[in-house]
Amino acid sequence: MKLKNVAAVGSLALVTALALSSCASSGGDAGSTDSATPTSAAPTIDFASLSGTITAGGSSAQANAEAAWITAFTAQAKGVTINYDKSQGSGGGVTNWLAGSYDFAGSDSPLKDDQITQSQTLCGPGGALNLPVYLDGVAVIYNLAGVTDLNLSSATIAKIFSLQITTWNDPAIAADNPGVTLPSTPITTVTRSDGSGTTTNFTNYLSQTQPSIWTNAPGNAWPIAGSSAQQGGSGVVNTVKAGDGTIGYADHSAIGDLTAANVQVGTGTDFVAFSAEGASNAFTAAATTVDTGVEGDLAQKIDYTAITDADAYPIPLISYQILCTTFADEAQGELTKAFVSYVASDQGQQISAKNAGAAPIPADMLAQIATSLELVK
Amino acid sequence: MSKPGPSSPQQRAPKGMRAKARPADRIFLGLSTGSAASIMVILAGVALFLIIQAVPAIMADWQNNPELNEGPTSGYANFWTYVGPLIFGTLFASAIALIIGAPIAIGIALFISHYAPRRLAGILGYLVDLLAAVPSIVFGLWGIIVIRPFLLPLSDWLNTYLGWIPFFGGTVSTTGSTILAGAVVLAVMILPIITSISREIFLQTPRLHEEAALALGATKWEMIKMAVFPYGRSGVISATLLGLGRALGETMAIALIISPAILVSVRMLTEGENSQTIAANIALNFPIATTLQREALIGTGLLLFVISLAVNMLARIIAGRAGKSALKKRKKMLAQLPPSDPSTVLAVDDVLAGRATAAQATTGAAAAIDGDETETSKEEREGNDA
Amino acid sequence: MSKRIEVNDLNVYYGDFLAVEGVNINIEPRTVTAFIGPSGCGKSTFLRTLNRMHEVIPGAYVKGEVLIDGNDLYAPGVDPVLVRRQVGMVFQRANPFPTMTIKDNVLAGVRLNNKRLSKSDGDDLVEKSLKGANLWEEVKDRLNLPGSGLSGGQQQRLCIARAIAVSPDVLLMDEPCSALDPISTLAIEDLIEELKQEYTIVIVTHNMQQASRVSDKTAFFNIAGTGKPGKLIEFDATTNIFSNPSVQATEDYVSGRFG
Repeated sequence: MKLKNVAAVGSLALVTALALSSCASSGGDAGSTDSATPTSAAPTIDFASLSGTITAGGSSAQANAEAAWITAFTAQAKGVTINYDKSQGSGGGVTNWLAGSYDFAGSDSPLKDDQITQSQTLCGPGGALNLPVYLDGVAVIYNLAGVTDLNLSSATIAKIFSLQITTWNDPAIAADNPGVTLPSTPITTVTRSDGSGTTTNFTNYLSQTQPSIWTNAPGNAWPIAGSSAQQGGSGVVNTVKAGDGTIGYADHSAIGDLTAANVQVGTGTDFVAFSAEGASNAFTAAATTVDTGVEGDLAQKIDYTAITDADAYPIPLISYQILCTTFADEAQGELTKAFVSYVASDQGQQISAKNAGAAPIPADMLAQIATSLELVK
Repeated sequence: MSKPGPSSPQQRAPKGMRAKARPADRIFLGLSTGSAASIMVILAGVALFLIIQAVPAIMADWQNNPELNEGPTSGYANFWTYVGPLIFGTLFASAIALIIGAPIAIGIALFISHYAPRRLAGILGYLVDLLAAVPSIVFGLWGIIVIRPFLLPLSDWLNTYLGWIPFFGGTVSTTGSTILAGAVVLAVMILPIITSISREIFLQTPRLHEEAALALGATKWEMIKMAVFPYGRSGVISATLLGLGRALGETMAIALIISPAILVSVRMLTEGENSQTIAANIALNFPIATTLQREALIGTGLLLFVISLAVNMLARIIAGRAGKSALKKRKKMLAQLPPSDPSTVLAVDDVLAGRATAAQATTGAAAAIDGDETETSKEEREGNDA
Repeated sequence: MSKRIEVNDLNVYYGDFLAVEGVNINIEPRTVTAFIGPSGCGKSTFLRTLNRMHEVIPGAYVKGEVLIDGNDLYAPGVDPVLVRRQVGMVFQRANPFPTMTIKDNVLAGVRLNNKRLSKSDGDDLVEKSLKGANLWEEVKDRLNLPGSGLSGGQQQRLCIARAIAVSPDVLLMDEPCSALDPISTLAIEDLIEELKQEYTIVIVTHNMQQASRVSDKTAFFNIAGTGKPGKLIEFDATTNIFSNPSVQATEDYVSGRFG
């Protein structure tokens, strides 16, 4: 699906509201009441001077956020059109980007080693940058008659999803939920039938925190037969909603009015519900930049076992924008850089949090992204 | 095309009768020849694309290749152990759909052609054609929201009382994402193609044959058994196989409804033992696949292409065989009859024509029927209309 | 076997259209009655009302009575299927079932009536019916070949064999020779002569020589103009109709002055 430069009235209103409120102004003439002093929260982008078309695509997890960013960005930069195609998913996005069809790729995982090598033919010796611009959490959603508040330890989650626990009144679940009456309903686990970055994150979480229970290798395809496998996050959400005794995992931004379980932090007694701050805190605590040998690259590795504070949500989900350090066409490079800078600004992050249910990336990482972007030519 | 005339080449054609170059004829001949050739080129191009793309994955060492050992393709000894269960799932889901859908489709066709009052028949025919225009994603959503919960009580019942039959065994699904639900939706999707072709065939039943049966005191159903079915049999088989062809390639509805697993299982009511189909597997995994995984998926697509081709050829052979077996019979009969009885030959041609008409209605020029039969079949049709 | 047909004040309608009006006719058992008249005069339509075959056409219905040995075909509750089992019909074009063998064609009607027919009974009936249709000698060696492999005239006799195999009371023939060559026509005409011994036969024909050759009585139908209903003009012994008709229109028609 192509997202065209159609400034929906509602989104425009929101952008204006954002611009008018705390967030200071955008540089140049945004057509709104400019306060002449740009703050650190907003990037200095000369919107008026920009024109052209950015073509991108990839991850469907960040598609809603991309839509919000594009609407907000093009509302100010009237001469710019941005197309983000989510139909190909992360894998297809990276493939198309490597083939030179996209200016940047949206991807739930950073480039793999062989892709880094391939990217040098496209981007020159400077290579490509993985920039973590989208943060969300994987929610464990369930539908169980009579139970509206559920705590799950990482061990219990691993046992449920590896089909070792099959009924809701299992002692392991009861132990996590003292005082709650659990029915004997059989558990139906709902997973993704299509390959997904959400699955990668969730299986990574399981294998890192409970390696003795969850013995399957992490990956983008659900490894265990016997669950109810559904297409897309919406398929999982709908099926969990329609069933009784169902439990599944999905991007938190997509779960709608379903109840998400409180997930145990570390090995302690704290159970935490998803919150934007929780995800941001988890990012700060667990994400470390991987040295890929590319200057400025910000590919992250999440150490789920490092999330131990009660103010952090234990299963964060990061998605990247991937772009070249050197563009074949310099003007195109400037344009793409402007958009990514906007996305990785405080304002951009607030837009995705408000419109797409995402969590804001912590400020120090945004600063690092800004530094890395200076390498882009 | 035309035979050389009796005159020798030196002789000029008389004035006013000389062959003229007619540009419009030539242009149209060129255009239609070009169109005909392009279909060959397209088909060959698709086949070539599939083969070239698939070869690396088919030849790859699946056990040790790191790229194939992660994500959707991990855990298979080679390409064939990966694609085998998918082929089974594809055929299995389509077979169930056919078993459910074909009798209903033929029943609808019969109702429209022989039972319904004219006005109702018109409306029904229109509705069936409309069904063909519904996009498969809509069928998929309908399957998720309506058919899945709708089939749950039936699934429970089948599992409880007929669970000893392998098809209905296993742990019954609680969400309804079963291969049965998928097949029911598939059955609805193949209804229009089978119905509309069968209806056309049934409507072409010569009135003479129908009246012959009725005049003998046949009830409507007996008339249909005596006159309509024998006439339309090969056409209905072809229609059914075309429906099968559609079912084999159906993607979105299956991908949305069924909770798949890559394994060989005949169980129809379970959550985790539904054999995945090729088309749905490609749709679900293509977006996330790496280069070599994509090639593996294209390889499965190649096999689907081959299976579909085989089914279509089978449809044509069955439709054509009616014509061929009639040809054999004609030779046999002619051998038995005195050669001085010209009316016999004509009569035999009538029979052949009757069958050829049915075959042609579905497979058109592709049916293996030689030229003179095609001509007599036209005569026969005109005769029937008169 | 053979029965009398009595028709009283019969009107035939196609929807709102009155096709045949006010027919009164008495057909004696063991006779051949020919219906003649110009095209579109309703003679075929009327013939079909004698075994309710006109009902195949949507919207067709009749008013009046058709009595076969006193039983009204159109009395409430009469099943047309049963009527047709008693009143057989042979059509303009021979219509054996193309996929059935000669033998199965003959037995087609019988099998509708009683499903369990022993093989020997079946064989006897096939022989009897084919002999009755003067076809036995020609086809006895290839009973298991398709009936459609026969010549046109043979096919028509096969249809007659099929019709008489169910032992009907009356045999209706709708221009049975119009698609046949003269030799085949003669064979059928001879057959009609023989069948008359057992059946009441009604034949529609365009061929006036044929009518004069085969029939005992002839009914002349005519139509006043397009859109007008067909009427029975005159019904009399065949010799009278052709030599000394009492109505001018009949004389005009049989002498070839119109039609």
